[in-house]
This record gives sequence, C-alpha cells and structure tokens, in this order.
Amino acid sequence: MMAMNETQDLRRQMIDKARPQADKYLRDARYDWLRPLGRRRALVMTSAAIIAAHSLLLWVQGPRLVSLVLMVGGFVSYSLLKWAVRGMADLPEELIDERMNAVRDRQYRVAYTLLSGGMATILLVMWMAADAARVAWPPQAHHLESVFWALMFSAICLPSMLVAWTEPEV
Amino acid sequence: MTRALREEEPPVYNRLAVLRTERGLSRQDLAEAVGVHYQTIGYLERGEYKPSLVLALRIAAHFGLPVEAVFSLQPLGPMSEALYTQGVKR
Repeated sequence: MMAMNETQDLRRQMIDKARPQADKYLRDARYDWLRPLGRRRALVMTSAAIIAAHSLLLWVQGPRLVSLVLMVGGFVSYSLLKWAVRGMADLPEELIDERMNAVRDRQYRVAYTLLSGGMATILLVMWMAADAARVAWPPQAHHLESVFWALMFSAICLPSMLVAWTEPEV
Repeated sequence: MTRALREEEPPVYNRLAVLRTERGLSRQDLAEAVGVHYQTIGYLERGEYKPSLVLALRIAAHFGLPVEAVFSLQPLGPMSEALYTQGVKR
C-alpha cells in the first residue's frame, strides 16, 4: 500500500513537471501554419524521406558528414511533427483529453504492428543473408547502425506521423 | 457477442452548438469548463466524436440540463419545438 502511494506520488510529481510543457504543446498557436492536413501530410512524407535517406546512406557508405546532417534533420522533423500534432502521441495520458487519448491509442496500435512487423522482417532477412550455407553475407557494423537508426527514428516518429496523417483536425 | 463496426454504430446527436451559441460561449470557454481541448468541442459538435458518459454528464451539468436534452441517439429537433411540446403536454 505504502509502495503504491509512493508510486502515485511520483507519477503526480512527474505530471506536474510536464504540465507547463504540455500546455505549450496544446495551446501554442505559433505552429498553426503546420496544422492544416495537407501540410501535416507533406511533413510526414518529408520526415519519412529523411529517415529513409539517412538509413540508406549509412547502409551504403557508413557514417559520413551527410548522414550526420540527415540525422539532425531527422530530429528536427521529429520535433516539428510533435508540434504539428500538439504532442498528442507523447504527452502523459493525464495531460490530454479523452478524445486525444482515443486517437493516440488507435495510432499506437497501428504503429506497434508496423514497427514489430518491420523489425521481424529485417531480422529475418539479415539472419538469412548471414547464413553461410545460403548467401554468406555477414552484416558489418555500418549495416547494423543503419538498421538501428531506421528503427530508432521509426519508433519515435511513427505514432506522431500516423496522427498527423489521419486526423482531420489537430 | 461481437461489437458493430465503428462505422455501423449509431450516431450520437447533440445540441452543443446551439446551446453554446445561445449562452454566448466560445469553444475555448466550454472546453475549459468541462476539461477538454477546444478541438474536442469541435469534434463533438460535428458528431465526429462520441463523448464518454462522464464528459456527456459534465457538459449537461455545465448547461444545467438533463443529459438527454443535450445528447440523443435520435435526431434532435429544435429546442423551441421540444419546449413547446412539453408545455402543451402539461
């Protein structure tokens, strides 16, 4: 009982800390120019292109200055996506209303399926490629790095991307 | 038992827009009073989102009306018509 109260207190403290930032996300009108559906979709496509280009470049050439620039681009587009959907995919559930929670739940379910399916496929392909009896192509460090960043960016961006793509108004 | 597809579920009609305008409230005012984001009020008014029971009761309480005067599974007629019919019945 004591431990449960402590956990609840900690959660409350965490939420109180997040509240000012959440208010900014939910009310800030500075990013309204990004919020019409067409612009949100353009942002989603740009983000997807940046993530894909970054991973492709890492896969083909290994770490280069261009891939570092694209990585920064990936984080910038993640931040813009977050503002575009008012942080709906990332804020604690206590700080967004019931409709936003419902939208978030729906999109997280889709994102989970896409991401876990994609991850399983990549693992299968790499395992088959590394199998000496079949292809005998052992993945190198930069290949794994490329997969890591593709999954990492997908994991943080996908829920916001899905919200941005599907919601008529945010 | 299987649940109906989301598209097959009956719509929930409401008088939110009328009540809000009648009382001179903005979406932001109503949203703050019932603890939701102002976009959610827009979704409710357009019938694109069905409120939870708690939210429906909170909204009805804010207008000082029974919940069935604000939300219904049947299309809602004009408020004046409903009031007049009630008056005649009495």
